[in-house]
Amino acid sequence: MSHPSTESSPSSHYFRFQELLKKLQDLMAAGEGDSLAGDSVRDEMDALWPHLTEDEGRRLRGLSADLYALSGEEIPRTTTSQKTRDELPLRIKQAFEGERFDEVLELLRFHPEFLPRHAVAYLRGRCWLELDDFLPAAWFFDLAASLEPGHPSYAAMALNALSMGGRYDEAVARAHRAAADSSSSSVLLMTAAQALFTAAKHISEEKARTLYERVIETVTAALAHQGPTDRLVNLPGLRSAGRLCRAMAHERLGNVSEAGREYDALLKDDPTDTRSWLIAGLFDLGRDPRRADERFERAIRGGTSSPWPYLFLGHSRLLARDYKRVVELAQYGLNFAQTNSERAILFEWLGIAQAELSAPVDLVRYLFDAAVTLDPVNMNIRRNREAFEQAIGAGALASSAAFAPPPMPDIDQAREAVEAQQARSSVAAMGLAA
Amino acid sequence: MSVAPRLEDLPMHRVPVRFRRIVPDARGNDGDRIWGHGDGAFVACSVAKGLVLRPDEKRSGHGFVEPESTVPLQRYEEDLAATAREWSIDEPPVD
Repeated sequence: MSHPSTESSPSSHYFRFQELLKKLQDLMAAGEGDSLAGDSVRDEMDALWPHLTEDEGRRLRGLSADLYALSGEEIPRTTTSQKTRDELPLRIKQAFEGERFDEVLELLRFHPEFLPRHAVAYLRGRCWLELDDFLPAAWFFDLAASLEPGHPSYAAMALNALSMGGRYDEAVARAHRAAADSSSSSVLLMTAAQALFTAAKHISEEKARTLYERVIETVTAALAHQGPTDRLVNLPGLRSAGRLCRAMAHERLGNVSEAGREYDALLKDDPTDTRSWLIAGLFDLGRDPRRADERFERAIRGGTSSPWPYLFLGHSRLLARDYKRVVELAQYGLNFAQTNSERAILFEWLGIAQAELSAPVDLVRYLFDAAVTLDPVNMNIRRNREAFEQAIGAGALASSAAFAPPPMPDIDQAREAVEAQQARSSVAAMGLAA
Repeated sequence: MSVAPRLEDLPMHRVPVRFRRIVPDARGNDGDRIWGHGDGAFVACSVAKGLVLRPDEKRSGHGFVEPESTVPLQRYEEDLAATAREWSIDEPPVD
């Protein structure tokens, strides 16, 4: 868990407090910290403060200290000994590699000169981003970009953080500016396209069309940048993410043949990207089910960590009565399932397949029970367990049970999950660049 | 009334910025002062006529000065006002 509040509902007070801290920082940097405007911000903070958890308060205190870096007024905390100070770089490195991002941030407060200022700002941005605190992440990436304007990734990371944080208006405005600026790096253009695509999903269909068209133009412009001085766009993750974005934009615009061609080209160009196989497979569902199966199969063979190829291919194999393959897919898929309802579906399919393969009754019953326990409101699972029990109760073979065909997994949900993953993957690719 | 046992325990936006060397996250108005009352431990106790200190069970470093029993608001305000002369500026040196 990365957020200091709860897994399910991050506190809105926490996020509002972050914004107020930034407002206060800006006022203080402008010499207006003690003004009426400053006090009005503090009064609002007073109202929020009692509602914050201790963990949230602790993290906000850290943010308050870090924000002084934006105006170059950070005061490093003092350490007790030179030895401790000498150990800080190694401890920062170990904490970052161990993904202990709160600890990295805390250690940096003792040693902000550990790296050049722009690199520390970037590191802070990365930590805040990894903690799902997207707005602070954007502030520190912006700082890094202002300190090192020529860096290929910093401005893109800021834009990506805004988009991930749901700041669509600002993200779209920046993306349009980047697209209109001939000096924008290809990495920034690719990120702009992705931000536009993400924003388009949150506005009216009519307005979204304009954004999807802009996505296509922007990715095309980014790909055209492939000179020796702009080679970062060739980082596989980033290039594929951009092209995937263009393919999905075509798909959303109803340009089916362009989307199909784009997916084909993308898969040929980078056959190692399991996310592309999955998205292309989703595109094929309803159009070319056999090819969809092949693409899900490729995603699985490529080592995808997504449960969706297992769910879609498993469903297809179940309807085709290929029960041995269903057992394999469901068993492997359980390693990647992220929710109990996904696990329940896979247990249900295992139950059906094992029943059809004449497995021992106790095993089949165990599988159905597990499925019902994991998702007690899934009525299809309940019906199929009932069908199994009725067949056994009547002295018949489990394979004679009248199982109801399970519904196809939710394509929109799969798309949402994969697209959210895509933004994270771009971060990783840009992290390589940084 | 909210109180804290130490400067570091105050909400960051109420610690005057001049104390940043002690409280690096301080964001308070520099025109504000830090006031202290007594020198006893920060534990549940009577602090003045009609008033008790109750440390916050949910948040360490925070407490309430509240009436010792249910009283009209005006009475509580009067009891608090009566302690005015007992408070003194209690600030660490700023270097």
